[in-house]
Amino acid sequence: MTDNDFYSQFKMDMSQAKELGFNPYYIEICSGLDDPIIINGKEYINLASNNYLGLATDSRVKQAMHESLDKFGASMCGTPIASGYVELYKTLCEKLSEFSGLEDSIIFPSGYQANYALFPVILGKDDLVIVDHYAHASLIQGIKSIGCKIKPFKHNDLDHLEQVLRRSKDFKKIIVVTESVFSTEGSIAPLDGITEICSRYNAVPVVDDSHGIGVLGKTGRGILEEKGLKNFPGIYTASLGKALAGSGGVIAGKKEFIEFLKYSCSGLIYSTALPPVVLAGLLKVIDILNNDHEKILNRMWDYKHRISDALKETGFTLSDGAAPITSIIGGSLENTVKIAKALFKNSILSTPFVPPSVPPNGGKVRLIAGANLKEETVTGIINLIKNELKKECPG
Amino acid sequence: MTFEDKIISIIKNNTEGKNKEVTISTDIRKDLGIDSFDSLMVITALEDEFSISIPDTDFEGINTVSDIVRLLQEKYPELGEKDYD
Repeated sequence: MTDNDFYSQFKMDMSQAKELGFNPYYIEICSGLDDPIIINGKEYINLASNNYLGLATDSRVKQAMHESLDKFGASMCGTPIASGYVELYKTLCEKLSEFSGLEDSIIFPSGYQANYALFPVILGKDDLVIVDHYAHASLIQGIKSIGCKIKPFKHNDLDHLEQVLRRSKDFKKIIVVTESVFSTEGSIAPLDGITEICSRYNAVPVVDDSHGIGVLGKTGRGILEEKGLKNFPGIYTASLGKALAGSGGVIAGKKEFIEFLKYSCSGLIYSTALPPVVLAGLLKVIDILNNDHEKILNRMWDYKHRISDALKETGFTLSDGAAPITSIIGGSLENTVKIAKALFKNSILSTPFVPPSVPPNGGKVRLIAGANLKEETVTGIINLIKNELKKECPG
Repeated sequence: MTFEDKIISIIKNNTEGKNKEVTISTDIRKDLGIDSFDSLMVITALEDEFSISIPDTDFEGINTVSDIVRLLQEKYPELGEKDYD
């Protein structure tokens, strides 16, 4: 095969974006996540990032990162098992364990990698994974890599989960996998119910709290606080690049289990550890949340409710998620992109989800209003929804 | 209810095809948009309903509802002879 023949197989068909006159992906942002952000020299309101708490450009976080950069430099140039185990790494593990309410934790270079790396360590071909039908690609890809039996259960449906468990015999181990917040629609998993059912069927729950950590619960500690789950018997994973405004991923759980992962999880052992500057930023975010969560969370929820209410009053159909995500149901790819395009034309950046990341005709436009948005920005968004957006997308 | 109708009912109840017309000739991938992960939902439901075991690999060549009927009748001929509620 010639080079040309080889590469001709990997050409992306961009004709649909051309026909629709808008490509909502890979939009180049030329600022930090301030209010406003800058795209092509123009000001935009950012409703596309997972910067729920608005801490990505917080001056206290930036200061902590600057200090860390001066002290530790750019990188530790090693994996956590070797020279990457800088004191900030150890401290962050302890703080994250305390924050999430679990015994111990370890930090991966990304949330995707944490999920992907976990399953080969804990599962074999004779095991069963029962997974929520709407679970994130990183969980599904990680599970599929094992070659074990996979049985999906209907989204957030405890009766169906129990039915599947009841009929699942002759497996060595059974684990039940879910997310805390399903990020395209904002629905929240009934983790208390899932944990209770798991205990009756000798199954171990695994929860990905990527969109819950920093956001759910009275003090933002995530799904375990939200559902009142103390002494969670399962495995907890989360991205650190969403509400916590850093990067990386965490796996937390029982102390002995985490100790085992530290020496046996190849996704951890063979990847360069997060640089100290990122660890320092995350530590400061946790510190801010511990002391200042009430004000930040109140503002985040207030913005979410006001934007959702304005959209509903204007006639848009929303997913009925309880998380601080507003998800407009767009339906077809064309209509979904049309809504995102109309928002963009009016200087609002959103996140459209179109097939294959959602089912056919299940397109959605996701809006996340970070707590850093100014009051006048949110008032402006509401006016725009009720006027311009209504005219351009009449339903 | 015939065996074919039972399978159609299982597919409708376990996929996004709930509000769509599903017939014996429906292509589950093209018409219902079922991907490889969604098909696990169908496999699980078929296994539970008929108390059988279906390796995921058996579904790799499946396109239509008719293909599923044929696959199950070949492996479990007794299933096609029963009446279903």
